Order: sequence, then structure tokens, then C-alpha cells
Amino acid sequence: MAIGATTVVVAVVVFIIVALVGADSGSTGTEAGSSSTGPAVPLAAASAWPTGAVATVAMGDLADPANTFWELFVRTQGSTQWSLATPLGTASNGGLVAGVGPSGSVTAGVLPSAFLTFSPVASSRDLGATWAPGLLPGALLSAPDALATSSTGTVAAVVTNKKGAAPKVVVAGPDLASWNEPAGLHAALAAASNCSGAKPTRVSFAASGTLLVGLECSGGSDGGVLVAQGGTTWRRGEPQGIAAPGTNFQPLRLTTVATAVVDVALVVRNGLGTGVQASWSSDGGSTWSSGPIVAIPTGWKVASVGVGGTGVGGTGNVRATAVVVLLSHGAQRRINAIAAPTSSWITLPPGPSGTATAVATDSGVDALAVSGGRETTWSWTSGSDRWMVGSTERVPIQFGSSG
Amino acid sequence: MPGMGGSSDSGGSLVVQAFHHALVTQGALILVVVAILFVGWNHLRSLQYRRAVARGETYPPAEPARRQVPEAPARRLLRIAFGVLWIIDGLLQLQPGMPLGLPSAVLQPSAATSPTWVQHLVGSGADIWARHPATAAASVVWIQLGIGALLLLAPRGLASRGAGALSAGWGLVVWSIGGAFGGIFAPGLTVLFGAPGAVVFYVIAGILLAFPERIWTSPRTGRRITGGLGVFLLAMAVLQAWPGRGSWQGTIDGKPGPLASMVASMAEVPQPHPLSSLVASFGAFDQSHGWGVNLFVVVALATLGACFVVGGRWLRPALIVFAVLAIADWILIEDVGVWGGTATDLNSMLPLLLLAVAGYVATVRPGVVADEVADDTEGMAVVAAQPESIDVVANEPPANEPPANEPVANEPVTIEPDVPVPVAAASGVTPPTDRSWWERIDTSSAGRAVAAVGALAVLLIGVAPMAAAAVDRSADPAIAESSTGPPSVVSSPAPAFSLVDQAGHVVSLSSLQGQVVVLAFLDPVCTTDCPVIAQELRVADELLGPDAGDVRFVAIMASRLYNSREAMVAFDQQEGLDSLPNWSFLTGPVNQLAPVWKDYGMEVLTAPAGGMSLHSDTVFVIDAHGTLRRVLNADAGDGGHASQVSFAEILAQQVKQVLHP
Repeated sequence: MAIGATTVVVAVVVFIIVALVGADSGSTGTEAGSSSTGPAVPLAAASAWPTGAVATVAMGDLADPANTFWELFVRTQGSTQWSLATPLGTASNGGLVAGVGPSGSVTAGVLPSAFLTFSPVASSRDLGATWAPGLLPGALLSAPDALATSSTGTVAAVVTNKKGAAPKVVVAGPDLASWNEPAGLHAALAAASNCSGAKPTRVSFAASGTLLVGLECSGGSDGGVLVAQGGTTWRRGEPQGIAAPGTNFQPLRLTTVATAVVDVALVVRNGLGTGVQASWSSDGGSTWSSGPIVAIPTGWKVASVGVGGTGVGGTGNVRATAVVVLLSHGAQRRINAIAAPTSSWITLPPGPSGTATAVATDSGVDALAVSGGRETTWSWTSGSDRWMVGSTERVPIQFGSSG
Repeated sequence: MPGMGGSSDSGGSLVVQAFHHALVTQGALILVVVAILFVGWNHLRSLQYRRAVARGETYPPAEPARRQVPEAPARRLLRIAFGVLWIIDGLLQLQPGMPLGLPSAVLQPSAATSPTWVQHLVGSGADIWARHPATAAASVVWIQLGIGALLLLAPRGLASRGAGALSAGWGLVVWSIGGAFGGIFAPGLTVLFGAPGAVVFYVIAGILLAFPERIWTSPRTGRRITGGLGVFLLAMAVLQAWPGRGSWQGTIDGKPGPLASMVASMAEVPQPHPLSSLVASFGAFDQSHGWGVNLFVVVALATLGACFVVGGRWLRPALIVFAVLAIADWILIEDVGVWGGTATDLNSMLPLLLLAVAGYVATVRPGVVADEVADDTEGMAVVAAQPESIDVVANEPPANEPPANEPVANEPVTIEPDVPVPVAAASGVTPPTDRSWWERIDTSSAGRAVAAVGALAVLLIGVAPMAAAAVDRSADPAIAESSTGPPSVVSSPAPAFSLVDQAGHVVSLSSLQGQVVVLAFLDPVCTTDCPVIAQELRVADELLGPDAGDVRFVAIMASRLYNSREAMVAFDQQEGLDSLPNWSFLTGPVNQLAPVWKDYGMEVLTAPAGGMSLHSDTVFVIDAHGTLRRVLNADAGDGGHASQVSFAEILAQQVKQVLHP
């Protein structure tokens, strides 16, 4: 061939490949609960506190969004059984976020799905036995701990809209009637140092009622925490030295654990998605103690994070604040747990098939495994080398009801 | 019914009936046009005969001493093959699942993983189709049959080149809007599944046919076609080998890899059992030997690509191997492409293979005349001075090829443009100057022209209603009636109610007397049907025009839990109802709502486990005197824009009938 034609052929080949590969990498979808930065954040979560525990998991036909229903399970203190407590009256296909408070109150928010653009919420003071409905002024952000309840019943939420507007924090009283943005937060976000494009993505209340806001940052900078100081004042309150500096860590959980001495836990994942680290605060986010990093093997991803419970060891004051990380790789499940900043991560026996979330109990760890409309609780007792099957609940999934 | 799923029926009998009706109507119109053309042609021949007899001449005149140079073999191959493909595609459009199934089963899935702008483009086409499914489906049948017939019936001249241009133009429409650009902007692109889309090869063939016919007299055209194919295959080889795309894995996370899962899903489509078994077997083989299969594919694509680019003595063996592999891919991976009820073409491998064969034929057996003059010689015979064809040995082309018009060794001698002479003059019978224009028409060749005009008429009969549908923002009422059934005409006193509206004012049925009331029951946190019904009411309000001033649209709360005024306000804002002056959303405590539900035959149930409230989707039309006149099922079907507008059309018609009995 002539040289000119060869050049044209090479150029065409290069152009086609670059265009096609570029298209390939630019159109990757994100899973439910995804965040704008880093790997997707799992929405399935569990929280335990001295008087109970809640867990949110997806059930039904997970390959079909219209037949995927998010369910809320609760476990009361002393019980080994989880029971269904999903709020009634609205479709949960979009996702479900449970915000727990130090007093054991629970607020559940439904992510909009299909044609709905705002989020119904419901609050309960009796661990899901009865719910009082309300509405959020927008769509609840798809992230665990995008909703929180204080000991006095005040509710905070991170809301956005379906068009992806910048999320904002809103706060309402127990009646969920009138929502307002916390004073000074907007300015604090704009002024957040070392966090360009700060976005609030998590909220939590310390035992004192102090509001903490978890941040994600853009431009490769680390995430962070803003702590309300009263009036319009906020200060940065993330742990010192958490994760490797500059790894663009991303909050996974920021939640109350409501024990006598430790009230807030922060779980983060580095920006590369290769490690998870937990920090605990006993003074409303003023000071934190961080534990070691647990590595995420290549090809694995964080499927859920459970916070709270006492059953994975540890000693002293921090014993009641375990963090349980569920990793998934296809059908495989791996569960790591840590009890305290001074502890090491322990690797539990491989998680039962279908495990969707796990959280520490008083004596070990509970794993909630789902398959279609069946939820099975598996229990691991500290020191054991196997999971024991516990209760099974047949959930009346409303297949076909959402289109 | 919210909570009970939609009742979309892709084979909706009313729409299929309308489709068949449109086909019959347009088919009858085509018959009329063809009959008129035939009669006209026959009449012309009769006139010519009579005039010839009157002049004492023979009719038809003696065959002039002329030789019509034949169409280049490669061009003929492309023209006939793609003409047949268009006809097959047109016949596939006759499937009854097409009118309602194409947008949801073909158009939208094809764009689902593409960028937003592609989804919008495809969505606009899908919307036109969805609002006028019968018209659009019938139009596409005729357009594709028309293009196919035109390609087959117009072998030479402007009509033939025009057919190529039409083929390319319509192919571009189908490729972009119908096929989301063959998925080239979506992840997972692979030639094995049909990328970059079958129709893009129709477009290329159409462009080649639209070029002046003289391009086929040089083997360079063939070499460019095969060289382009080689470049394409090389690019596909690189893409297939690119790591991280799943091509190398038969299984990923314990699940079938992209190729295996695609093949498995193809095997599940209803089809003859031997074929599904064969396809399923290959899927299983790929699942267990994914790396090896992909290695073979990459090596084969790269080798064939290189052979096609180099050409010469490699061309023939490369073509043979390519033909075998293309047919294997067409059967084992593309699964022949015609199953499932909404298949639109035979997929990519056959047209790609046809292009390859045409390129090879154009290289080794180019045409012998630049027939440009024929374009301007309607009614003229072309006197050619050269042999009909010259066999050419496919040799390695010289490094610096001469221009197309310069004779080259082993290439055909380029012929000077033929000199057109009138038929009569060529036959030496009568000077043409004393003849009318119609006497000089060569009716023997005009027969083919008449047929081509008939094919063009078929095409236009398809294009006209499609164009009309594109600008018509309404929707076919048959869409909604397919899922909801016809409205019920009733006459009974409407049950009374007195509730509070979104502004806190008490509204009763008696307070609305003097207006026609359109009454629905809506759940403000419903995610599916209620928002759709709200849009149906809003569109019906628009369709009523000036009559809307005499109509009140009223919704009564259909939720036992989310029944606050705040919920109604949020719903109104979400649906854009808050700006309608004649809109009221009413609520009250459950003990006030429940009797109203009961009086109107509504059952509002609270479902467990994340299900939304259950209630039926009934809409009532109450006249200005408080009498119930119409009961409509507003079940939104697939919830799409088309079914919304369609129901709104029906509702507006019924309201107008009640307003103006």
C-alpha cells in the first residue's frame, strides 16, 4: 500500500480503538448507593446499640429493580431473632436508610423510585412496632447514615433531588413537619479546608445531641467530619491520621453507637477502595481513636458495614463498639470485625451464602442472609469456627406491585 | 392499579388490529398506484402501436444495433443482496409484536447503556413510535419494502443510484435512532454480537451504490472495500483483546462472562430446538473455555484483517475463511437474528460478509463501462463500443496506482462515454424530429422505470404517514384502550363527599355543581401509577382547551398513612399540578376518607414489606348536576408517555361528550 494510505489506516485503527475503549470506560453504570467519588458505597447496613439493632437489606428479585424491595429488620435486646419492621404505606424499591438514635429511636427513610421524586420517612420510638409518617423536602441521599435521630427525637437527613443537585443537610423535630438547614453549615462546607467541593453525605447525633456531618470531597482530597459547635459555628472533627494521607478516604458509616462511653463511630474506606479503617469517639467527635486498616483484596468490594455490639472481643470502655465489614466477591462473602482501636481485625469464617449485612451481637456476630423472599439469620459465636443457622423469616415480598 | 403492576400487553389486540388495518389500507393504496402506473404504461404502448400502424411501421420497432453494457458484477451483487435484505427486514416488521413491542423490546434496551445524549435521541424516536404504534409499524414495513424493491427494480442510472442513497439515508435513521448507533458508545462492544450494528453495513452498501457507476470499473474500488474491511477487523481484534472488558473470561464471579451470558440469553428465545441446543452448547463451551475462545477470535480477526489489508493473493483464502467464521458467528452467537417476535434484521454478519464478497468481486472482476451518460439519457439507447466484460486477474496492485481512468495492465480498459442516440435513429427507421415526445419513449425499458416508480411510491406511502406521525403530538387512543378497555357509560347520582383541599379549604361535591368533575383517587407517595394518572389528568386538561374552564379535576386521597396536606402539596409540585387553577387534591382523616372510598367502590389497602398502598385506578366523570356519567379504567399500562397521552385523549373525549351531550 502507499505510505499515505498506510498512515490513514493506522490513524483510523487508532481512532476506532480509542473511541471504542473510551466509550467503554466512560459509560460504566453505578450500583445503588453509589457515591460520586471512589467505589460505590453499599446501602445495606446494620447498627446495634445497647437496647436493640436494625438492619436494612435488599430482597426479592435483585436483578429487577421493580421487584427489589428493601426491608428493615430489628432485633430487640436479649432476643436472638430478627423480625421484619419495614415501614408501611410506600414502596421501598429505591432503597431504605435507617437512622438510629442514642435512645433507640429509629427513623427510616425511603429512597424515591420510579416516578416519585421525594422521600417518605417514618419514625418509631418502639423499634418499628409503630411508625409515624412524614416527608423529606427532597430525595434522601443514597447512603447509609444519610438519616439520623437524636436522643430527643430530632431528625437530620441528607437530601438531594433526582437530578443530582448538591446534597444538603436538613433537620426537623420529632413530628417531621418542618425541615430547616442547620445554621452555618452551608458556610462551613464552603470554607472546609483541605476538602474541595465538600458535600455532606452522612449525619449522626452524639449522645449530647451534637450533630456531626460526614463529608466527601472532590479533587482527590480526603473526606472529613464537621461537628456542630452551637450557634452557627462548626469545626472539622475528623480523626487525625486516619487512613493514609492523601488517599481520598471516603466515609462509609458515621453513626451513633450509644454506649456509656463511646458514642460515635466513623468507618472510612480509602479512595482506592483497597482498605477500611474505623475510628471511635467518646466525646461527640472532639477526639478520635483509630484502629488499624483492613485490606480489601483485589476483586472484592465492601458489601455492608455493621456498627455496634459487643461480641467480637476487646476490653475496657471500647468493647461495646464493634465494626463488622462484609466483603463480597461474586457469591463469596468474607467478614472482618474489629472491637476497638487497640484491637486487630479478626477474620470470621466465610460468610453464609447470600449474606447481605452483618453486625455484632452481645456474644458474637449475626449475619443476615437473603434469598428471594427468605431471610435467614446466621450466628457466629466468638471463638467459633463456624456459622450456626438461626431463625428464618419468610417476607411477604410484594412482587409485581411496583410495575 | 397501584401495587398490582401494569397491564402492558405488547401484543395489544386493538393496536395489532389497527396495525393490520393500516397495512391493508396502505397496501390497497399501493395497488391503486401500481395499477394506475400499469394502465398508463399500457396505454402508452397502445398509442405507440396505433401511431406506428398509421405510419405503416412495425411495432415494436426493430431492435437497434446496440449493446447495453451490463452492470458491474460487484454492484449487481450489492444491489440485489441488499435489496433482498431490505425486503426481509420489511417482512420482519410485519410481526404482530412490532407495534407495541419495538420501543420497549428493541429501541430502549439498545440505548440503555449508552450515553445520555444517545438515550435522548433514541427516546425521541421511541416516543414517536409509542404514540402512533400502528402507523409507525406499517410505515416502516412499506419504507423497507419500497427501498428493497427499488434496489431490485432499478439496476442502472439515476434511479438506481437514488435507491442506494435512500438505502443509506434510511439506514442511518435506523442505525442511529433504531439501534443506538449499534452500541458503539456503550460498554461491552464486540463484533461478535453485531457491533457496530447490522444497518451500518446497509449504509455503506447504499453509499457505494449511490456513487457513479464508473467507480466499479476499477479494481481499486474493490481493494478499498476489502482494505476497509481489514481495518475494521483489525480494530475489532484489538478491542476484543483489550483487557478488563470481560472478553477473556468465560465466567466472572461465578457467573457467565459477557459472551457466554449473551449466547445463553439468545438460546432462551423461542426458536427451533436444534438451533437453541446448538447455541446453548456453544454458550456452555465458551463459559468453560472463555480464554481459548477469545484467543481464537482475536487471532482470527487480526489475521483476516491483515490479509484483507494486504490483499493480493491473500484475498481469496481470507474471504473463504472469513465466510466460514462469519456464518459460524451468525449461527452460534447471533442466533440467526430473527427470533423473539421483535427481530428487525438478520444481524450483522451476513451484510458484512456480503460487503466482503462484493469487495472481492469488484477487485477481481470490475465492470467495463463508466455509465454516467445513461443517467441523462432516459428513452435513449446507449451504444457501447467495448466488450461486455473483461476478466481481470487479481494481482498485487502497483505501489503508485494511476488514476481510475488510465488503463492499467490487468485492469479493464476505461471506455469513453457512450454516445447516446435516440432509439429510432439507432434503428435507422425514422428521423425523430417529426415524433411527439411520447412516441420517442422506449416502452420496453420504460417498463422497468414504471416498476421503479411503483417501488418509489411504496416507499413514499410509508414515509408520508411516518412524517405525519412525527409531528403529531397526540397518541392513538387504541394504545390506552388495549390495556384499559372502553369507558363505561353510566347514569346514577354521584356519592357525596366533603373533604379538605391542598390549601386547607373544605370542598364538597355539591360545592362543585355547575362544573363537570373528573374524579380520581391518588396516593401521594405512590411511585408508579398515581404519578402517571396525574399526568394523564394534566394532559387531558390541556386537550380540553377552552372547555377546561367548565371542568374541575379532583383527586381524593388514597393512602391510609401518607394522607397529610404536606404529602398532597409535595405530590402536586412533583407532578406540576400546583399551577393548575382547576385542580383540587382532597384529604381528611381515614374515618372520613373510608366512607368515600366505599361509596365509589374503592378499596385502599396497606401492603406489607415495602409495597405501596393498593387501590384501583378508576376515574369518574360527573356532570354539572352531580350525576355520574362515565367510569374509566386509568390503569397506566406501561406508564409510558404514549399511553398517558392516549388515555388523556380518551378522557378528554369523554369529558367533552358529558359537557356537550
